[in-house]
Amino acid sequence: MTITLNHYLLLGAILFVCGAVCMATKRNAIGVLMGVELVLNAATVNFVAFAHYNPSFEIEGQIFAMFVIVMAAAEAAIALAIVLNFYNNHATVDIDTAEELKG
Amino acid sequence: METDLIWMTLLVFVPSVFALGLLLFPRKWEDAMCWWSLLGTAVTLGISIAIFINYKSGVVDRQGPNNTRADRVAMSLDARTAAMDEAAQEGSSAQFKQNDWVARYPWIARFNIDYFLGIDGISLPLVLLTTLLSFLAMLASFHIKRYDKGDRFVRGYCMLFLLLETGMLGTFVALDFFLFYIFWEVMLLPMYFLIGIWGGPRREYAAIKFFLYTLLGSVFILIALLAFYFSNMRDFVSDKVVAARANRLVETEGDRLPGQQPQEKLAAAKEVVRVNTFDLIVLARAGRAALQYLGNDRNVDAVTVAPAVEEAKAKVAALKEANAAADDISRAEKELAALKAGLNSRLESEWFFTPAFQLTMFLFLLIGFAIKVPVFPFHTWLPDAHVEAPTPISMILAGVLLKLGGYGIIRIAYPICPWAAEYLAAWVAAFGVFNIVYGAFAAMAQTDFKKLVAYSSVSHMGYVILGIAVWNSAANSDAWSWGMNGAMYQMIGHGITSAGMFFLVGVIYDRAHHRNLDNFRGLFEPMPLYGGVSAIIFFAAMGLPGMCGFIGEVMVVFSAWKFAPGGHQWIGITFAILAALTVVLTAAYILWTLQRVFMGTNPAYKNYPDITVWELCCAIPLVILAVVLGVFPPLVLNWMEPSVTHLVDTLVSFRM
Amino acid sequence: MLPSIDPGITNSLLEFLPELVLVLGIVLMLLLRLVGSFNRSHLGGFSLTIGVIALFVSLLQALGEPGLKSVLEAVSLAESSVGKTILSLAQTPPPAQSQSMMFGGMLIYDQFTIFLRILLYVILVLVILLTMTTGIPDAEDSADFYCLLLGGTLGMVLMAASAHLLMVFLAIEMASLPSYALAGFLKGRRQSSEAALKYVVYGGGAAGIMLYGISLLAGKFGTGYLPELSISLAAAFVPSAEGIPFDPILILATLFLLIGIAFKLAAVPFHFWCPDVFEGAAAEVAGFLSVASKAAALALLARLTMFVGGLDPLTLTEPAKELPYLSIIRYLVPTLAVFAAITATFGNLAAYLQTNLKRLLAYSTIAHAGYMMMALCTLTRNGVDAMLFYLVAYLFMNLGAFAVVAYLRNQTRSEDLADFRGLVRRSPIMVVTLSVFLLSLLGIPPLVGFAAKFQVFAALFNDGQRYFELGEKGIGTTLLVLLLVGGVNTVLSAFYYLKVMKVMILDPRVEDLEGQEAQRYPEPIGASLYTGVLAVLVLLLGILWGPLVTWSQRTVDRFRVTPGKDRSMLVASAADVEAGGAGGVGRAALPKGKGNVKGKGGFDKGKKQ
Repeated sequence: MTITLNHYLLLGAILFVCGAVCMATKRNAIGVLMGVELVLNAATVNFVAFAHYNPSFEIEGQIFAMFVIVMAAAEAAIALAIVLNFYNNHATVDIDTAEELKG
Repeated sequence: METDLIWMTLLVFVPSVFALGLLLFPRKWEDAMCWWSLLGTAVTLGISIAIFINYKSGVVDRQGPNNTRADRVAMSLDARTAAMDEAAQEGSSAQFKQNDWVARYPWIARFNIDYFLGIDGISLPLVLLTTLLSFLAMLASFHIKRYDKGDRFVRGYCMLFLLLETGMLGTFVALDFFLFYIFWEVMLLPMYFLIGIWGGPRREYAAIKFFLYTLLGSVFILIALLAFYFSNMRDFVSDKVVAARANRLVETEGDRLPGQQPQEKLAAAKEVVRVNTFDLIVLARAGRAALQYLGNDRNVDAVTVAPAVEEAKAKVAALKEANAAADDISRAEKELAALKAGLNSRLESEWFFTPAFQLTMFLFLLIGFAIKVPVFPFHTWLPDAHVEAPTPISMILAGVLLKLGGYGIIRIAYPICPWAAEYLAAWVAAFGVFNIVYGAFAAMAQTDFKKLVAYSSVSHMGYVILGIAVWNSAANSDAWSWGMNGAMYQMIGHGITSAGMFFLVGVIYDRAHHRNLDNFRGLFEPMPLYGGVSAIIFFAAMGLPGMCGFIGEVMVVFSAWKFAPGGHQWIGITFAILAALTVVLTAAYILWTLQRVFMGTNPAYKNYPDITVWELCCAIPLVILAVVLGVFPPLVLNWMEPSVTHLVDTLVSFRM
Repeated sequence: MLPSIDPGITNSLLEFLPELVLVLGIVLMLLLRLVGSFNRSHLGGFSLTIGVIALFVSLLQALGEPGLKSVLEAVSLAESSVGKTILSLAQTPPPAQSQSMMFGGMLIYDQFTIFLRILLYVILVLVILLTMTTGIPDAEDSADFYCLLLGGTLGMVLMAASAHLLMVFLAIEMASLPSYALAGFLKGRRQSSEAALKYVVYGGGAAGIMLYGISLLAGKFGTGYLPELSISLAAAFVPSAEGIPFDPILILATLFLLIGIAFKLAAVPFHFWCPDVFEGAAAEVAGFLSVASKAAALALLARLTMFVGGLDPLTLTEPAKELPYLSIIRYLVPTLAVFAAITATFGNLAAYLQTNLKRLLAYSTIAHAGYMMMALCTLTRNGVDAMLFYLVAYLFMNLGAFAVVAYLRNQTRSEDLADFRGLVRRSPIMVVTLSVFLLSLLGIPPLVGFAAKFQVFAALFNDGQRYFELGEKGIGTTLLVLLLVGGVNTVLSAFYYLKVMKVMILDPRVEDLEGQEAQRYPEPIGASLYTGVLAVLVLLLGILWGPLVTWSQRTVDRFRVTPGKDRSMLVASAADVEAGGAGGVGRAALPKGKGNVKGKGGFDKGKKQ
């Protein structure tokens, strides 16, 4: 069976769904951030797959992927700093305890 | 800059300048601030009287000495504006007539908004009323204090009061719909604070109710404003304006127009250019065109107000009379036919000339203005606002603010949507009559003195609506012009009497600290002068012949008698009978009030001081005016009536 | 032999000059911390200088060569070497209707970019001034704070100028990451850290979703370059023989992209971060976010929708031929309209129940974003023009309101409405200026908020009418209904704006009820001057708004179609689709020739179009 574009897209979709579920259900802030990382990597998989199977997108896809990786790293850095600050103030990383600002 | 523009600008903005000047006063100089503001209102009163004198001699006496129909046309805003625009096109400012009392200055080019001010017989009496009542109300404000707090915050009061006066005066002189709207909205805020800070126990509720009601009405007016702006007024402006707009179109969208040469492009631009304007004069012209078009089964030949078409028709007629060459005549006729075809295509396609549009916009405008008048069922803000407002503010509210609604209907709703006005004439008149009767009955049931006066205001404004609404046929146009003139006169008379009534209620409230009619009695004994003054003002409000209230009421009732919508004479007669019978009710509650308050004896009030000189200074001008205007109506009618009748003339004769 | 620099790069760098100033400023500030003496000084003045220089350079760019020449001649510097250098640096801004691509097609440099740049730098300067007068941040943290502020502004400028989906993502992230940190800047406050956590969690999620959508879109069409992508996207909605081709992946991808932008805009239903973040963050940061990030997000939305919508459908030259290929606007306008209406209404309704002033202003921000989205719904130049004017008006009124909140927090140590009862006696200047700002937000003439709302309503009505004339009854009705919704919302908003003013002016104070005299709070001169100047500006702009509207009108001229050029590609590509048979848009639909250019990495796009 030949691996086509759709297989990679399916992989990306699965990663996306995993990440989204992670973001939605995790109580631990770090867990939510892991979900965000999963989603970003799902997109990266998509980019690289399209780059391979779509000749006009070849270079663009790879560039996209590299920038996304860098961006994800930067975002993770800031997010973790904020989680640390939250921990310093609340002594927990459970986001369900973030209730003081009412909706 | 024309001098009349300067005068009118001064009229509107001098109060604001005085308000800014108030910032320089130290907080403790409360009396000084009141005197300064009084000076401001006095200066404005002086300016308005100067404008009046100049208007009367320059416009009325010079151009309309005999009050014939042609005179009225020459005096009208249409003619004066057209002459001014022509002079502007010539380019030399020396051509401007310095006392034609219309003036224009470009303001925001993108939306063709001009700073366009003008005065005619409809706005001038209201301007005079405003300045006079502001002066008297300021006189009555020297002892203003807050209901349950020590500090009087006089500076804020005077600043807001003067700002309010600017808004009111600006509304009356603005002839550009956008400018009118701005001044209309400017009045909202000072009124909110004036009621909300210096009012009675339920002042916050009354203030917010007033604000929200009026804001809702303003949104309706805004939608109508937009709808009128985006209608193509190409046929109703002069050729030069069309050429100027076409030039602008060529500059901005030239590459999209067909044709190579600039002249071809200009001609193509002239075909497609849309002329959008806020100018009330142009919009009124379009409204008349809509009336003629829709009222004559969509016959383009019935439209007689498109300047270009009329010029072409005149040219053809002149050529024919002079027996010119056949080619000349046929060429002129071809031009006329082309112009007519263009006009016809726009009349058929533009939204403005559809019944649905006219009806919707008329209703929007009517609702917006009816909230101010107020017309049942939009009147519920009035009793609260009047009762809770302090005395001077009640005077302004009843004396001027209610007239703004009537003015808006006469100046904007009727001229721009006359077809809908004619279509709905019976309904509008019915609402007016309902106002009259409802207000009278409600007033009878009141025990709070101020609320009684408030409901009597509702009742009297009903006469205004009735007088405006009684659209009659061309043969009976006299009847309708009686009605319109009666409505205007009623507005002035009611302004005087209601301001007087509220002032007098305030006088007694200052002494007794309550307004309960059941607890007053026997005030004639300690306060005979006050009783006398009150009697005169209340009789004037009642419509006693010889006082100002009678003239307006009787003119309206006479015109209602002749009102025959759709040929049904009985409708008009019923309205007239109801309006006339309500006079009995009015007399009932007013006389009963006088009896409850003044007659009999009551030891509790034995030591009340009589009306002071200061208070007399506020009341006497109103008393004098109430009597003079009742005995000698031509004092006002001479210069008010031509403009009002001209409006009726232009609207009434639309059937071919 | 040194390799020569591609002239495209130098052009781009010169066009990028204001942002380079910002970058230089950020780097310098980070380096300055290494020098001991600077480590403890307040870097507000330094960052203010950087901001002013950037603003100055972008103003120079806006003037352009002819304008600059006349200015230099006026100061008689035109012939000197200084003058010649300045002239050579001045990149002629593109004439009204065209643009040039920067950095190989990543960014667009046109009048719209210049307008947004000036707007964002003015915001930057005003916010820095505000922070210098309120004392947040203190000297120790100032370097971090101003670096984040400058970095965020840089990201926002890039958002407004982006022309490529990669740039869109990068710019949104570059604007968001500093905002996350700024939201949590008051490290010691529990609410601040909670706000930052919520912001980063939701923001990261939204960014991820948006990126996934971008990946699907860019990959499917084989390009991330917006002008081409939008043509292909619009062509994908062309009705063929079997009806509209329903491609779930495409719709999902577009939806995800819009979700990302809607999050940044705080459009309902992706608004839930906004009140919490605004309440938890410092008032200065909230003011910055409410004005700057909204401006950038709206600019981005404007670019996207105008490109996808075919650049002002009301300027069609051949309606019969082109309208079927623009059928996407029949979906786009109602979708945007529904979102705009819900956003405005929800914002206005929810604001009434708030007791915290910052939360109330946050909901008011959401409502105003709704009004600006309403202006964008028309997909015409009128609408974008109205939105740009509204942005300028909104900048002054909203920033002013948040500034007053910041000063009141300094004076009274509270942000709750209940603590502000009868404030007018204790702090009159603040209350009066806040009233001016709130009334402008409400839309009372003669303040600038009324002029802005008037233009939005005018655009809605005018374009509704013109869509009717074009035969699109559905779109026309949508726009007119939106006008009514806007009007009703104005009245709804009166409730809570008046409530704030009522509490501050009319409500009795505790001291009043006890009969004590009110003590005036000390009002620092900086605070009074700042809010006073902004209030006067709001009034002046409200009376003399002619020049501003002329400028914004000139700015949006860029969104017209040049006959025969821009849209011919769309018509041609759709014709290819029809000729090619079944649906499915991909490489085959793109006009020939473009595809070859793509593979080379894009420097060729440095040409002027």
